[in-house]
Amino acid sequence: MATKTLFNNIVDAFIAKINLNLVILGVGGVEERAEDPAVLDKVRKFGGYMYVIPLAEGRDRMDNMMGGTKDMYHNFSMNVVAYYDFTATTKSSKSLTSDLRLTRDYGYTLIDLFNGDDNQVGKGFFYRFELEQGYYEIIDRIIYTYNVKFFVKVLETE
Amino acid sequence: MTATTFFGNRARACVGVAGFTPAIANLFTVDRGFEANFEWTNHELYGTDSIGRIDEARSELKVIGKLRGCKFDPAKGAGNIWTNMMLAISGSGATTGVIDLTSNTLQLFDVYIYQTGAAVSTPVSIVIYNAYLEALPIPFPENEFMILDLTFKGRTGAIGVATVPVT
Repeated sequence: MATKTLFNNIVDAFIAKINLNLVILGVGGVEERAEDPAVLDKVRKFGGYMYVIPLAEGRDRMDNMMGGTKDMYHNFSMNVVAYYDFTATTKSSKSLTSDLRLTRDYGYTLIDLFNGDDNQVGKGFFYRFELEQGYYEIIDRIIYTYNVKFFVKVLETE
Repeated sequence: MTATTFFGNRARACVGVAGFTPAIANLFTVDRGFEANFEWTNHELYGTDSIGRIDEARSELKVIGKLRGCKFDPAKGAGNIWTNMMLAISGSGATTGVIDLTSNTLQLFDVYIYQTGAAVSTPVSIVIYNAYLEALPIPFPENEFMILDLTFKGRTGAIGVATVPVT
């Protein structure tokens, strides 16, 4: 299997699983792309939207291996960024405190989809997760956001 | 002859019961490193007429080998190097993988380690004959892939003379 195919299989399987859980993640959809400039349009339309950005931070470090196969030892990260505008949904309490918690809860819900024995996607294994959240104001709206960094190890290519 | 360099990643290892003929099917995969080490005890004789060494002799040859691998077929658990080739499992255990407590026979195996160079196809080869496994540590590490790290001790060895299946 070509290395690019191995990598894309992991990304596609990752997105497919998120797509099956859009409701509990509070988003209308998920795409592999950089979030700007589509974020505002999507967030206004769906109330929440998610973007998968592989190799956004860091790199895929690949160690060549012995044995004459194409197997390589990959160690990389994928970022998932989600944006929410709760004023566009019925979930909003319009409270910074509760909406921060709601945003954070969605982030942990995303992680729970891939931790424990659910950590295999394609031939990749998630072994570490980093969640951070924030918000920013755009005129009369508050956009809540979280960023989950998934750390992945892959050894088997063939 | 052409001198050339030998990059470790090209090394291959074939493992089989003592006396086997190395073949591609016997390759140990996916590999994380091999090592062969010929050790012996050296004896030196000195006298009183000279400060120089008078004689020397060698004894107790040990051929120590190491194999590290990280890709396995669990369906081959019984009947492969995990069991009757390395663990001295005999009788019904040879097919079931269950260690036979009534047998104290060391199962011997041969290991062929070889690699081709950057500019020549003739491989550098090391053979460790009649080796036995000293232990079988099987790690299950957290957040990391499982790697078998096997150390074995051969009765004798050969350097550069083996016919090996070059891939």
